[in-house]
Amino acid sequence: MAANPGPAHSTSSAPFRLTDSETNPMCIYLVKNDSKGDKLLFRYPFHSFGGPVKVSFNDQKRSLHKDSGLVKTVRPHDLTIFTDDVISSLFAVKMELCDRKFELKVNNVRFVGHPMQLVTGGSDSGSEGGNKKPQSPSIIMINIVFALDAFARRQISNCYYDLSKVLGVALRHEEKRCAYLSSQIKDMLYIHDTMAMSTNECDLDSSVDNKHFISILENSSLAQDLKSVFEGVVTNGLIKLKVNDWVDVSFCLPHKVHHFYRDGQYFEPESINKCLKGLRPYHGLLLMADRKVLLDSLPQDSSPSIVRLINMYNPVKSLETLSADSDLTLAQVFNIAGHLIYWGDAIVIFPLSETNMYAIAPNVPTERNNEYAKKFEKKFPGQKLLDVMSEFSFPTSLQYKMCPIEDKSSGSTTIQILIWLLQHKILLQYHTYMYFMPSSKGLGYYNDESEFHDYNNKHPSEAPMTTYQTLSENWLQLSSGGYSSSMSSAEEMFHSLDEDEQIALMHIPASANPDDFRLLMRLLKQGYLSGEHHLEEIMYLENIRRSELLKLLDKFKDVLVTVEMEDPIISNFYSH
Amino acid sequence: MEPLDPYDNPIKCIFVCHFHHTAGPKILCQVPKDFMSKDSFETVSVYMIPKGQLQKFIITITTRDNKILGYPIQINDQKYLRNAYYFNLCFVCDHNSHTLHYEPIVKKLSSFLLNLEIEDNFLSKSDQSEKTQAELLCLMSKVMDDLNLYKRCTLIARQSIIYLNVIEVSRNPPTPLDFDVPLPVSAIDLLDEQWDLTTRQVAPFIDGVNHICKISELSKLDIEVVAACIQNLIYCNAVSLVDLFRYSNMYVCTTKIGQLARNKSRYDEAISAISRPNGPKATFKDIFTVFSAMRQGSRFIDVCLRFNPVSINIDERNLVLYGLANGYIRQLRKYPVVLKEKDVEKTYMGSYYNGLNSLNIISCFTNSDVYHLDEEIERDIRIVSVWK
Repeated sequence: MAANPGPAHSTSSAPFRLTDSETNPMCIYLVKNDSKGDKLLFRYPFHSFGGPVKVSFNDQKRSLHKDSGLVKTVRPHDLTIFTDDVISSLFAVKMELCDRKFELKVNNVRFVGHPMQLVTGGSDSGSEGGNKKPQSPSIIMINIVFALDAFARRQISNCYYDLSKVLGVALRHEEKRCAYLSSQIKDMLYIHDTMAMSTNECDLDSSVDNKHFISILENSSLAQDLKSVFEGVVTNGLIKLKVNDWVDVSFCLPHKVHHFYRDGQYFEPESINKCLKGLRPYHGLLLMADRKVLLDSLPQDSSPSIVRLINMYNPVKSLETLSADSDLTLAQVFNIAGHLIYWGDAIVIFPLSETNMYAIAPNVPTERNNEYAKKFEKKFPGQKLLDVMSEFSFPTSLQYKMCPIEDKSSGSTTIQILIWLLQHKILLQYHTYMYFMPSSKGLGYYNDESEFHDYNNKHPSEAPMTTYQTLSENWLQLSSGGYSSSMSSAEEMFHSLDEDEQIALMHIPASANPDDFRLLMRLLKQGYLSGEHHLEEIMYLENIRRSELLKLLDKFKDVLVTVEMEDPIISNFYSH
Repeated sequence: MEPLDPYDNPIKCIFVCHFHHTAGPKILCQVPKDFMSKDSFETVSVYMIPKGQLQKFIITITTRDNKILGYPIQINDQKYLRNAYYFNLCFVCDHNSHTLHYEPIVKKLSSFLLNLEIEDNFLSKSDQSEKTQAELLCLMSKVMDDLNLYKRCTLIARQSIIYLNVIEVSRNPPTPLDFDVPLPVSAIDLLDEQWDLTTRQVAPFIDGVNHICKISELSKLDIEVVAACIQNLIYCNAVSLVDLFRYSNMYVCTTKIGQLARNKSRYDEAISAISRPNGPKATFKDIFTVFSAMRQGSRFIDVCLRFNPVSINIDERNLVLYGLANGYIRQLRKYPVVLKEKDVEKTYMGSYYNGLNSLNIISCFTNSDVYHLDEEIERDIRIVSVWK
């Protein structure tokens, strides 16, 4: 587009782009080492290294760092410097390095794997494996290695390490059960040998066209499994595999299943924990795919509780309601939610309701006819994604969106569209938070953050309910004494404020109303007025109606500052 | 979990190993003495003295406790018993630390040793000679001590000097655009002598107000040079880029805003940064109230009209810059798009409205008034706009 002098992206503060080259492996290798020496048994891809090409996005003429050797981009052919001999000698590690993380970095390529020593043959294992006669036990080392971009973050390389370990453990099990691994290795070696012989005859180097790997891929189920592992991690980050048609290997790369619109950002396993810690009974779940698709994708032996929960699922239900409807304890529901989140099947939302305020999330694509726009138009014919997005450009609630005059069918389309937008993380919900600032000094009553008790840190994720029970029970105890005691506790609260704050409160006419005054003091005491609890949370915890709260806000607007922002727990799922 | 600061990791050991024509791979000298045992060296010697193809590659291997990085070198010469000599200079660090920033140093030191070896067999003869062995040991311990202590080292040996400097490595920041505004985000003194001339020349104009074009004009430097300099400063985390400050901009609070309210130790800093100069100080409540009024849907001009910042002693520009620099607020930008491809030609400046360019950027590049442009966009029903 010659007519477009403007830059594609304006001031993106991303330090660098997370291209696929960071999350995708370039190659997967299988190396063995035993008494007969080391050998690269298989690698995939073997044709033209199908790994991702890293493109330099910087305008080179302006880049000061362009000559820095350290940031030289890895091109896929760079791997060709590693001949199969070199690879096998590097990955056939000494015994001391076995059964722990193997990490080798050569220039811009990082290799990670979990070398494993295992005993092959021997004892009764051969009998189950078929007609092979039992061999004397021998020790063999295998190493399944992934080649990654050296700049890939540590969490990403750790995921691949775990994957290598999981595969290794599955193979070890199958070896013990039926000598699967040794027979696979034997088959592979046989193909290597015969290919080497045939090429000697016609004087060609087979390693150039990788005929032996093609042949291995055709004949070996293990090689096919490795191929499907590679393709799984490259396409969607999910691996569902049955090694030797027996052992289930399921694995998921969290940074791959949760996508972000901003380059350079990915979902860290750590943020799942953060999110689970912050999960509250009033939160809800949003499945990323249709219920049926999800149910079909579950493994056969999955827990019936998960199925039950998914069957009861509805985006308008809170976790608490889900727990009641599916007859599971809240803790179980939390666990299942965590599981669904980890596998990228769900995200946390605040349950859909008419009063929720939504606006456009940061960094969403707005290019004309982008892939999401096309997807959207396919799903909702006649509607334009950008048109819909422009309507949400200012905070909008469902209440407002749904015209009361229109018939019900258009209302349900609106909800379908809303769910679609939430599933694609195009919309973000805004909540209102309150800060008690009676005097010009700033936040009143509450202590400094350092002493401030922080629910997220103090309470372990295992028992998110207990926080709530204790919080409410404290108040119940206080209020159970009837009017006089709750009034006196409100007065006690009032007297714990400093003089300026007291005066500011006295100036407000509503302070004279005992009901309003008590409610304010109660919220203050419970710690709700320091901007850590949104209105919906306070409504849930204190069993107050929205209108009551809004009235209170209006009456005390001189001492209460309100801020609109997203729920920090949910914002983990969005780009920033 | 990552260590607290993965870059703050000392070198635990430096060793030089070589291939002995009869004994095979072997450590020639190491500081501190006996750090690498013979056994632990043999476990990894294949990565230290590797096969032919991997010469002059930065190789890092992680063992249980250590991370060892080296740069194997092979010298082909008839004078050696096997017609070749292999050696490697290696740094050992903690196993979970980052070592990327030591790579250039290992490379440089190896080339230095390579030259010494070519000139007078410095390494190959130190197997026999006590004197060169001691000299090598002395060099290595100086490198280790200085790098660990000062992050830099100047090495003098045999009439040559080499300078080593530890630099944090990260990826290239994006190239700044002509109308990006650099905003200082850390207290780094850019006028300090250790900065290059360009940076010192540019530094006085980096105030969160001037865009790159303007800085280039003011500092009388070529725009390419200024952009490169700013990019370098982003790399050093000294500045970040923001949009031109305009009253038509829209800002919203981020989830960090609560930290500002709850962290009372930050109040004074915020007050002094945001209050108008030479006047009474603004109060924290006013500052926070103005921040809280920054919501999706109200432009900054609306916020200013509502509160009249002058009357409450707030410098509105500093308010925005302080909020942006600390991440309390973020900017929303308007992205106009001509919805139908066939309308692009018919629309005035239609080719700009592709959804990739924000209104601000378009107005900068076409040198047009942002309010005027906005009115045109709002009038044209073929154009929809998304704020994000």
